[in-house]
Amino acid sequence: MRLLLSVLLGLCLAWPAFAKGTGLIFVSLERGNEVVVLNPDLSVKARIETSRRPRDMRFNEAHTFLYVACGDDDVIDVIDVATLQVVDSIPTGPSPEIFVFSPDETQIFVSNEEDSTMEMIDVASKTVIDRVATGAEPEGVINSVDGKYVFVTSEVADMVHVIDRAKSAVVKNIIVGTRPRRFVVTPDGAELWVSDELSSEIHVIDIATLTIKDALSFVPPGFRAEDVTPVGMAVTKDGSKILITLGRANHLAIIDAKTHEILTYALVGSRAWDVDLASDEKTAYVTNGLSDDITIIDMDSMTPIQSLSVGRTPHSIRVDD
Amino acid sequence: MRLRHLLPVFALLAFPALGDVLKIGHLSLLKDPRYGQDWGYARLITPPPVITAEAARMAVSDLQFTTDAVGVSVKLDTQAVTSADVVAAAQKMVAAGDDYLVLDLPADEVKAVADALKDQPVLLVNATAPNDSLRTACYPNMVHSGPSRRQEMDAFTQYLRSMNWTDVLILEGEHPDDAGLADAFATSAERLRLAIVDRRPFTLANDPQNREGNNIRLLTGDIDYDVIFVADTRGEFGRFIPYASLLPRPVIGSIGLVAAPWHWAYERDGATQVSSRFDKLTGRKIQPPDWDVWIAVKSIITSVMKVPQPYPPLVRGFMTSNKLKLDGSKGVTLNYRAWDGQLRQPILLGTSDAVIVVAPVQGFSHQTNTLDTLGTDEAEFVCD
Repeated sequence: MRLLLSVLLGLCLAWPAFAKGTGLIFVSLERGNEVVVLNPDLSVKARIETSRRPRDMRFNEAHTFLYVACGDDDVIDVIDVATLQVVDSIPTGPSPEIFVFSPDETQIFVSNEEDSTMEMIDVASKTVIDRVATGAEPEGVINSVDGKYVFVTSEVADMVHVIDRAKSAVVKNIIVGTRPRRFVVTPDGAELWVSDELSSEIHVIDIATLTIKDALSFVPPGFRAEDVTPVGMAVTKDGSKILITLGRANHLAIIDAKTHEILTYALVGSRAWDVDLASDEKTAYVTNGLSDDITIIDMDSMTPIQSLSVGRTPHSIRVDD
Repeated sequence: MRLRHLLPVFALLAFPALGDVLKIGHLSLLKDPRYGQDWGYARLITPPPVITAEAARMAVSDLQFTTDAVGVSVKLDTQAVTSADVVAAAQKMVAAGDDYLVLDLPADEVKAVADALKDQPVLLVNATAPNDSLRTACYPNMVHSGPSRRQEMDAFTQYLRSMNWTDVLILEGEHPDDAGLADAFATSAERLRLAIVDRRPFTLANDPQNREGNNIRLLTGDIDYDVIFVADTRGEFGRFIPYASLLPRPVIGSIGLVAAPWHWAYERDGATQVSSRFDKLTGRKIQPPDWDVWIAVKSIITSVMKVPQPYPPLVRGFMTSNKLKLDGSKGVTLNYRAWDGQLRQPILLGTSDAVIVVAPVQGFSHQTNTLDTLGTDEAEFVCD
């Protein structure tokens, strides 16, 4: 039995891509210049010092590395998930904020908010392959499911740039609400959801036609429309629910992705910012930028279970599971 | 638990036709006394002079992606003239086709231009004259992008109330604007039931026969108070008050804790990006009047793109409705008040290098829009 266990363990170590993740929760602290790592029981496992102003984070597909965009040092730091050390840094343009990998993981697409570009960086050689000019303060970046397009928001130009990857060029600008921030793409690849922070809206874009098909607004009870400043979003794997942080309205909205009806508002901390789902989708995690904490939401009951202080200005949260 | 479906916004937006030119004028004063070299408007010693035309250019460039997308080209016409020439210059700009004029002028010059152009179908944006008298003048073709004095004073009094610093000593200079500032503070203080323990005039001279007017220890003695409000719009004496009062008390107003629409050190809500873009473009730190002009130009361009016809009176109507959702990088959506054409906006209370609090201060509420706790509210507003 013991032998069998160690063989299994050996197999797991040999193929980390197929292993169940560590269950660790990573939170980037924009002002703390560190990524705090929580155990599944929410105790602090480690605090990893990063370059300055760590913001968006992404795992590679195998979850062996966590990449962290560090806005004040113009790099994407690479954290080894096994050793919890920064092992590499990829230089970017000024003030990287949000990024994604290309579907084949060979490139990083990153918005550089201070020089109004989206950069395409080759991961292996750490060199810039191309730059695409965007409106001022580009933020959200996401791929279409087929990898044909990269979408980028410009917070100042109030638009979504549609970038054709093959051409490295903007092929369409879609004007949305005021101060568009982040995206989700529905798993069927049909819809692009955009959060408009200052007009308190969500725009739903049909990816096939690249046109707006709906605009939604949400007002939790006791709030006014102008209190609602949506930013982060997450979608369940079956595409049935979309989670949206409502910023200053201090709630997470959980939406039926098909009917666009609101399912519930879950109370979270001050200026709810980013949201991520555990892979079993039983739990959602929200970062609260103004109360320096995270809120854990039980997805079955869609209610908050606990809020936990993590450090200065939590920006993004990712779960390795 | 209500979800509102909005109509697809795209269908509602009627953009100006392709190839349209939007002409915006920017009129400022040569050697504006408010921007004297040794006394920056933000109460900082700012060696490079404030030239707000740079902020106007930044707004045009910020929105160029959007204007290009809808086929509008923005032409900015910047003029700096002497006080005697402002009216003629404004008339000339309008005659040359500037339908929108951003005025970076002191109150007297704003009034002169507004009186001369009040029957014209143009839109005037008073960017930097805080005087409430320009609001109550109710010019039909004017809006105000920079804060009114009353907005700034209400920010102070909300903060004092929240700190429970209720007794205020006012020190005021000899310039008529100083009395105006002190009056505005007193009006605001009265609304929040703060006590003005005394108003004392200050003179900048060493005449031994007027020691009570020029000696700071005498000027601040013989009475108790929680805080000193300094009304010194020309920067004559204010900077000598902190750390020099008889009682150890904080100083606010024209020095110390200052109310302003913007602060280069404001770090939230994407403010840093605006400040650092400005820094890169001009090589100097952004000052409050730069923000006033930037947001003025931004409001014009944003609104022109959202009205069916780019006709200034229509644009003004749109600006003063809740349909305008303007992003001033201050965390909330901004638009102009219907009753006085004043931009609703948060006010920052800051020192020389930090923002201490953003008003509306937490806890102050309003029946329709919290931003209306700052400035003259609809119920109390009357045109002259």
